[in-house]
Amino acid sequence: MQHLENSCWVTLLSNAGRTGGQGQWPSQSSLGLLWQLRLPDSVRTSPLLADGLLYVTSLDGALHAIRIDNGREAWKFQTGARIHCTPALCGSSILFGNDSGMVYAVDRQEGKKRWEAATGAEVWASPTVLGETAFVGSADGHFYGFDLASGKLRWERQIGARIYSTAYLAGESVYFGASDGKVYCLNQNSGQVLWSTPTANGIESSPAVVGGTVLIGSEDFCLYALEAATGKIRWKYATGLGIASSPAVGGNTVFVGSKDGLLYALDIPTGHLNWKVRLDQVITASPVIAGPVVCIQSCARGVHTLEARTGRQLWHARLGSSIQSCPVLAGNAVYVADQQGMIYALG
Amino acid sequence: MQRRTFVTSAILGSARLYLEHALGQGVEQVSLPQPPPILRHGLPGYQPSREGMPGLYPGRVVELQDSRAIKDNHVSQPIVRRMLEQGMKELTGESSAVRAWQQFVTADDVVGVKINPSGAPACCSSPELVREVISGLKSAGVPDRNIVIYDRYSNEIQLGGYHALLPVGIRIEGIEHRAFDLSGYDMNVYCQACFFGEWETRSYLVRVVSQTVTKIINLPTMKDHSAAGVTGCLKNLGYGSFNNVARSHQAPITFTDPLIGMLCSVEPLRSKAVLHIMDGMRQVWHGGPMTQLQSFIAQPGILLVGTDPVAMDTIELDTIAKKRELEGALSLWDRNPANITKDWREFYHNPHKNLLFRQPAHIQQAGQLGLGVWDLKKIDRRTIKLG
Repeated sequence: MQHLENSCWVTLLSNAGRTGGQGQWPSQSSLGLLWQLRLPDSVRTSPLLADGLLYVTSLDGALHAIRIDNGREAWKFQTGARIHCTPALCGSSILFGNDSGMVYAVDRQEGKKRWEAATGAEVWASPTVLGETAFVGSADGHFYGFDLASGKLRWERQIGARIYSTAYLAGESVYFGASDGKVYCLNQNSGQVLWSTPTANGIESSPAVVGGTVLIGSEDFCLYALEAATGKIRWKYATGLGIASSPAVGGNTVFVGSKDGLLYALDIPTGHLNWKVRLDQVITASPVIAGPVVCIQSCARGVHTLEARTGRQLWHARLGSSIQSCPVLAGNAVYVADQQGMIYALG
Repeated sequence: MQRRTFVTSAILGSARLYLEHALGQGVEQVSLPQPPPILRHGLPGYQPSREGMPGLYPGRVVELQDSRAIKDNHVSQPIVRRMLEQGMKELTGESSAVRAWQQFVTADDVVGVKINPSGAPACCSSPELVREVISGLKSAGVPDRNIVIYDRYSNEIQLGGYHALLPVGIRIEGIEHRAFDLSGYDMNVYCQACFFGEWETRSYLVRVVSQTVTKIINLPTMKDHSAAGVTGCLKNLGYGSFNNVARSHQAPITFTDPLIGMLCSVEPLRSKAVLHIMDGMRQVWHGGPMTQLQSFIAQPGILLVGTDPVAMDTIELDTIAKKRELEGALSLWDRNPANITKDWREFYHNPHKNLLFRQPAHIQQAGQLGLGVWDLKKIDRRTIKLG
């Protein structure tokens, strides 16, 4: 089996565009198990893929680097607390936080620590990098900008609410949600709050920004589309329960899962429903898009692949139960992590 | 002195009484096995508190009803705030909610809030209620860092979204992160019994209860339960604070009666649980505790407040039993073997089926252990309609 050795899946939902579209769905009509690996504890995060290594964080407190050619661990970096943070890859560093509030930069070839920085509570949001700054929110109620090379604090902004939402960087702005139910827009250089827009309950979902529109889910059951410049609500769409899933964008369509167990596809300009389909009793993870297909892991029923245009179900595997794990679609292979700590390579 | 107590089947007079109740309805009966002896081993040297169950107000239950409390499955924060304040004042006789909270906690306490995320996200302890409880604790002087929201299962807490819904500073702790994770349990505090020949016969108490918190505020939900009949204060506290409890079920038999009451009577759990606030915003009348089917989840907008878990569960049992009767579902006391299914999918979709012979008599049995008042006629039920 030939893998895409140079494929690159560098952050939550693959890339800065949050499309998940970097990869592509395998062309095979059915997928078999290439290898599987059991980690010591549950995986509540999404794997990354770069240069033949799959990077996975786990509740065992470690960042694991796994060779995709044989499923064996190349190295691991152990921290002192559980990890609920999807790592982010930037150049030769991999960044992530843990439940004791530390943020780490680790050399991605050697697995050695480059720097660490402290926040006041758990860091579940994934760091996001632009230029020389790594941005991340913490459950201590602060949003931080760290120097990418040294880990020194450049600025912090007190929000006063827990932050689990991974920030989106666009233009001069940083966008994220918080437990006070507000969507925030900060200036990237100073941390100044440019605007904040309330929703009716806390936010765990991470935003995507496309065409001047911020798309983000809320525990108030709604997916919001906000004007990126002002925070004004363009539209909102109510699902049946809260939205912890982060939206993925493909063309004019936004895809998002809901705790009501349905996957939704909505037209971004209008907020009109294109389709919705029940996949499970609960969905909290995020969809990824690979060309004509959308793929998502649900809480109990595994991995689902659907035709992006119609919602027609194409393929389903009863493995990969997920709270926040997204599949990595890498050409002729799919990598899946689950709540039990299993990593699967399918191809 | 080590607290060791063997309890035999002598306490099961209640089960016989309930059997007669069912017989009176003309239901075909099945002979159920007697439970084995259960050994309780409390925390060595722990001095019980008079504030422990049944607490400062035995037999008193304040029931608050407000039809505006939940609309289209959205819980109203201000209405829940008003309900809880009113309930706390009525329970304690205090003129202010702050003074009511001060009857139960002080600034020196470390307070565990035992939520019920089982069944999340469709029906679990409402984050709106949890937020109001946190506010109440803070109003009584408890610092943020001394408030610990806990449950056994971290994945269920995460599904409930509590992390992203609660204020900064308080701690949120799931005890188990994977199967057979014993790291969060205290090996010195346990109940021991062999129900079905299982290899591990002990259930250990979570360490956060034995070693961290000084008081517990219990926030159960209002649900039927496929094994216990209903799950309320007692079940949430007992099965939610000890590990390895699923071994008490082997379909169609369950020993939730007497295990639930036995677990709740172990020190220091019994002494530390000083207040119970039952979340009846949503009410599962079939398929509990895990159902996600909205067709079995009513939205009555009720809160029950009290210190006596047995009295509160007795009212819950009465409420759920009436709802099931109204919906044409099987009685919670049904013991007809013909109504048992081995297909959990069938059970979850069919209120005329049971997975196990339910044991609602666990509530009365807990009363006989001294945890509270189980006779409905002796309960001081104070109903307040707010809107």
